Amino acid sequence: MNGHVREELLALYLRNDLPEKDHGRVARHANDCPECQRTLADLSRSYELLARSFADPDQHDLVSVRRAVMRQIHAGRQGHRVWGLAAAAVVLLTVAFVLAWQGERQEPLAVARLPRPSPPAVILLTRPFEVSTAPVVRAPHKRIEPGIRTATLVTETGEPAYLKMKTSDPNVVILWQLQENEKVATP
Amino acid sequence: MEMAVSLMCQFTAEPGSIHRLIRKAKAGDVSSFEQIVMLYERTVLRLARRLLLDPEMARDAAQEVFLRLHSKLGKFQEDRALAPWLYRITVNLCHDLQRRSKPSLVVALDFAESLRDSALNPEQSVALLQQQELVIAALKELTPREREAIVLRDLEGLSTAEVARVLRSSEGTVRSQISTGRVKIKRFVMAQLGRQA
Repeated sequence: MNGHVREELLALYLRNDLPEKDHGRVARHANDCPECQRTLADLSRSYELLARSFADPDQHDLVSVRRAVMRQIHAGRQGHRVWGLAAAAVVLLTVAFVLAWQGERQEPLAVARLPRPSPPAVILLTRPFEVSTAPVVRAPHKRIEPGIRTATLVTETGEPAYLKMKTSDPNVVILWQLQENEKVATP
Repeated sequence: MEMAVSLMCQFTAEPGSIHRLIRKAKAGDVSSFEQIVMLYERTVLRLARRLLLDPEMARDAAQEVFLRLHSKLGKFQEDRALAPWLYRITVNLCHDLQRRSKPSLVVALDFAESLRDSALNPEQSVALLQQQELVIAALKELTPREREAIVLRDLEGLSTAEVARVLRSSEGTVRSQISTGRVKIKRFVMAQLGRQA
């Protein structure tokens, strides 16, 4: 080995961090080189100073770390429990709300099952009226079919005959204009 | 040397009881987790103090390491060694904290407190305190990666290969960081001691 060993190599040699072949070469040189021995002595001194300067953490520090960790873990678990309860409460409230809402909807549904008034409210008369001399005949009230409460045949002089049907809805009255040859059976 | 050997054993082979504790802790047994903390708290806190050079930050870092362990316990494989994982998490966490933090002025005070119960006389205590301040100042001269390599190799007693595993680096890179770090510390210490003399 020519000249001195680089300081970086000596720093690794100090604690056996060099590969074996390099370690042997440095060892052979350092044995005969006072300057490299001085460098090694300085490196060794600073290493010892470093190793001596850090005491182990004392028990008080260790306990304080452990307590803080366990406190947070317990708090986290309680937090999870609280969140779990809160989530369960939200689910229960949601279910209760949905049930109550459906309960409210059941009444309209019952109403909706009633038969819908199917006949139209107004029947437009499309044909021109024909003059009739027939006397007015009022047919007795008779329930004809569900939804229609009464049907009255109305024949007036000069007016076409028509059937007046009152439904279960007082606001809906059906006027049915009769054909010329159409007859209405009366009891 | 004895300390280094015990650390090496802890690093490479952990007793079966630790795996049993991990299994129980994963199942939700808090007291088993507390026992794991008790087994490793000294290692984690000591490493954090040596890396951060700030006792207050080191306590916070150690707490965070164990809280992370607790949160990731579900994914932790029981047959894996816990010590390397803890070393890695501690180093990474301290690395991040260092990047974010400003230099601390409380280091010397904390070390002075550590001398309170020692059997040294006042003159020896002052001398030791000065040495500690010197070493801390020297460590602050290093880059974070150099300091991590030096602390793991020279203070924690890990082998170069183990340091490389913790730092997720190659052995060659780690060796280079260690040699540069040792030389920087030596130059700083010798310069300061020469000035004092």
